[in-house]
Amino acid sequence: MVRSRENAAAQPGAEEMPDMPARLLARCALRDEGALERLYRLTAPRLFALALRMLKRRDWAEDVLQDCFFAVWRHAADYRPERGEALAWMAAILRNRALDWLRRVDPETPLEEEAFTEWATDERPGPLDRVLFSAAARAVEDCLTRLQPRQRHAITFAYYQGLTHEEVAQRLGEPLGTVKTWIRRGLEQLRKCLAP
Amino acid sequence: MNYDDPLLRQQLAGEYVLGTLRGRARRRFERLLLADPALRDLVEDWEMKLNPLVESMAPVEPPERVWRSIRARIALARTEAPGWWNRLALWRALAATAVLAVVALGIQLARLPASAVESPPTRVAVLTGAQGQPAWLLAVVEKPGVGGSLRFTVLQPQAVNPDQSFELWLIPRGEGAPVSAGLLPPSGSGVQPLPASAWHSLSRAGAVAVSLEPKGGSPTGAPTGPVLFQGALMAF
Repeated sequence: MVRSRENAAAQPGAEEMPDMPARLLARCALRDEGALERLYRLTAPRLFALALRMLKRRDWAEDVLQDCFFAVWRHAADYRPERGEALAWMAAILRNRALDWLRRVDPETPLEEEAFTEWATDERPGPLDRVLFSAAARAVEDCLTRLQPRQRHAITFAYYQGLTHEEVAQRLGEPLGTVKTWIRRGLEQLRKCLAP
Repeated sequence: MNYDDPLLRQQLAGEYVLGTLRGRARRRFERLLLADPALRDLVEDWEMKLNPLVESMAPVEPPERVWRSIRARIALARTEAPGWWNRLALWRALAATAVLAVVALGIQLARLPASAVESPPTRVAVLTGAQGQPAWLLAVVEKPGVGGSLRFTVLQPQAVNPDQSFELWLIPRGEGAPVSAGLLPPSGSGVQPLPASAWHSLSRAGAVAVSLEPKGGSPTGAPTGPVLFQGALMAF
């Protein structure tokens, strides 16, 4: 286990080819547990970061990550490469689970807000990160850039932090109706911008 | 709300994937998704377009215990559920319905015109649903050394989405994975050749089952969808 982790780190070129997760997923569908471990080593850190940011608690993020990979293992055969990237497919599973989790938890539960406030200031990656992006990631980033800043803020807040309309409104200090409109119009513009 | 409005459908799908559709509205939307493949398509489209954003996350290494838990869960799932085809309860239930099945089949065969029974079937099965309702009648006609054919009669026409198919599986006794015996239409009756692989595993098969698969059958060669109907395969 430890060895394969070192391998993954030692050969980033071979391991991180864009279609690598898709190939590993195909092997998972054939019940290859070694492929699942490689897929985990390759993708879990980014998925874990997203879970942490949405749930704001380590223990919850660990549970959701675990659920996500168990679901990936069970449903690997459902992934259709022609629809999009394997990592995006896995992120959809993770986000659904995280949103389910947020729906279940008591809204009174105190979150570890302090540790995460610095994320609120900038939700966007720097230019250096973009070099490694897939075409699909560049497309959605470019389209986000074309939105009005307040629409973009509202949408990225909701996406990365799993916030409701009300929570986004609270964070941005704007009326609820205004924020709903920004998100609705922003999504409509995104859709047009991302249309093939 | 009018869920046929294309603009509203796009909007709801987008907000569902973004996560701002919450509470009762989210649950209502999830119920709609179950019955509406075109809406599922819109959702999948949004997911595949928005979720590459995960690439922009600065990686955070999860603790090793997460991977250990995943591995343990997979191992547990493997030992606890060696597959629905190996479950003991299934076999007990099938034995109980076996007598009924043969009687039912005898009546059906008696009704078939003489030309349709020119070769007597060697194995028969009645497939029943979760509530025990009979759904399909199957008879296998074997031509030793040549192959086999499958005669089927739908007892209860089944609803199926246009993007899905019913696939028939031979379930071997004891260990072993199910073998596909081809697709079954949701209504009517007919005869179709048994695939060679199914023909070769026929002697080891103790039961048959029908699962719901993507159109054209399981992409993996093993059942991927829910098992909706099953029955014992008996010598006749």
